[in-house]
Amino acid sequence: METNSKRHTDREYEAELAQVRERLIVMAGRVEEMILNAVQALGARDATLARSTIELDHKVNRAEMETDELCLRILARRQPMASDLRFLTLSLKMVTDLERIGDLAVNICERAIDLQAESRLEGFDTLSRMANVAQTMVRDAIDAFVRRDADLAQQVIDRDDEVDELYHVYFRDVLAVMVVGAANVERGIHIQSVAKWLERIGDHATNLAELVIFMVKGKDVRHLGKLDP
Amino acid sequence: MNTPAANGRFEVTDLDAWFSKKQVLKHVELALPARRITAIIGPSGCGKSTFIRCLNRMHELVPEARLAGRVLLDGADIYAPGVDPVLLRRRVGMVFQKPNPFPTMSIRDNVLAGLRLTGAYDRGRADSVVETALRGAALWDEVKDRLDEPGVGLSGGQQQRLCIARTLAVEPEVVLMDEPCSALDPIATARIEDLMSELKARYTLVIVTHNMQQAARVSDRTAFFLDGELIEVAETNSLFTSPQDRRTEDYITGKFG
Repeated sequence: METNSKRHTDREYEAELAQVRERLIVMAGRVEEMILNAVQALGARDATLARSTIELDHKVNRAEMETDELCLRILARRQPMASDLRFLTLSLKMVTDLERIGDLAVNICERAIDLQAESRLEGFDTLSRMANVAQTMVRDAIDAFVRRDADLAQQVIDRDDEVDELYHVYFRDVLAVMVVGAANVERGIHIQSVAKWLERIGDHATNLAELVIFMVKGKDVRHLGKLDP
Repeated sequence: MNTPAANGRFEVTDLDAWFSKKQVLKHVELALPARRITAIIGPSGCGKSTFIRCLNRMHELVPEARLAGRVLLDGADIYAPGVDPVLLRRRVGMVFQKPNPFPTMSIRDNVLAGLRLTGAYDRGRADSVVETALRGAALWDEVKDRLDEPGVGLSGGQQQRLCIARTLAVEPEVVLMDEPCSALDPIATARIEDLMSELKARYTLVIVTHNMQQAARVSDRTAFFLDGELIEVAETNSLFTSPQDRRTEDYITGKFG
């Protein structure tokens, strides 16, 4: 890996690690596209876009399995150490987070299909803003991974509060609409779920960023201040 | 920490060593805690074997070899005038790369050889010394019925454990192991590694190994040497996951040469 400009003496090993890295980047790019499409499909009530985005998830699932297999093979055959070991164990976790983000985007697409006949959606702007923040978090987490940039990863972690805050505001706004009339309740519940999934995507992006910090610094920043003394 | 309960603690200060004009150790500062396993790793020629040979005064046996600095064992300088190297080597035993039982001796006599050489042989205690040492080296059950057969008739792994028994028979405080498994198959290696974790309760162990996975498996602490310098020493758990020095990182991830 690129902890420094030096390469592994064993070039095949070097190529295997590069392959894991490339697969993660491709997978992350696909997942990012899924988030963007899902929210766009919802906003435009575009069932066709929603369905094609659900199709993309199969590729993400396949990428998860293939990357897992590749990492296990490298662990078994190379017994990696130090930054290589951190990189590979991180990759194994990263694919899981990415795959789950893909699943959440699929959930949103399914809602887009359910809601295609609705003429309007309450506060879609807020939802759209949440989606933008969540998607940017995923993109920055991956950029931080590619550039080994712990500062950028920390910014992703900090931005999770913004998504959480938007979620709470949105939750209350939609609740207020539901209180006004029973006819709004089903639509309201659907759309609240979408907000919840976007908030979960933010959490997964935070996980990714924490893993990047571990890879770069060798320091575990998960659950800081939240563990038993 | 020089309490009687923790004998076998080394403290090495500013150690330099030479073969003729070539300096092979440079200003090494390293403490080896009692009753723990310290692994010494590093590429060929980095000085790791020389380092442990300075711990039992074997370095000076090589013509034109010399050293400077201080090596304290439980607070006492092992190079102080009046220290008998032979007696020191009873306290600080060594196991070598190739199993080297004495070819003409029986298993039993091999175990007793160290005691005979250092004049500590006691005929009355011989049987119990042999049994204790062979049990300590996890070999007793395999050889108890053929103690009078030649030591060289054993398998490679058994011969290495016989050499460990020979080392333990003189009741050392420290056991130095220089690539003890490099001539052994994986099963024999696993036996020695398993034995090491048992021996740790009673002895300070220092193992030189080329096999990083072995260092990671068996040791509590690991020291990385490069070009005669100690680059980094740390708890094994952290050295192999998050080394602090770039050179350690490069070596253990295979980015050398």
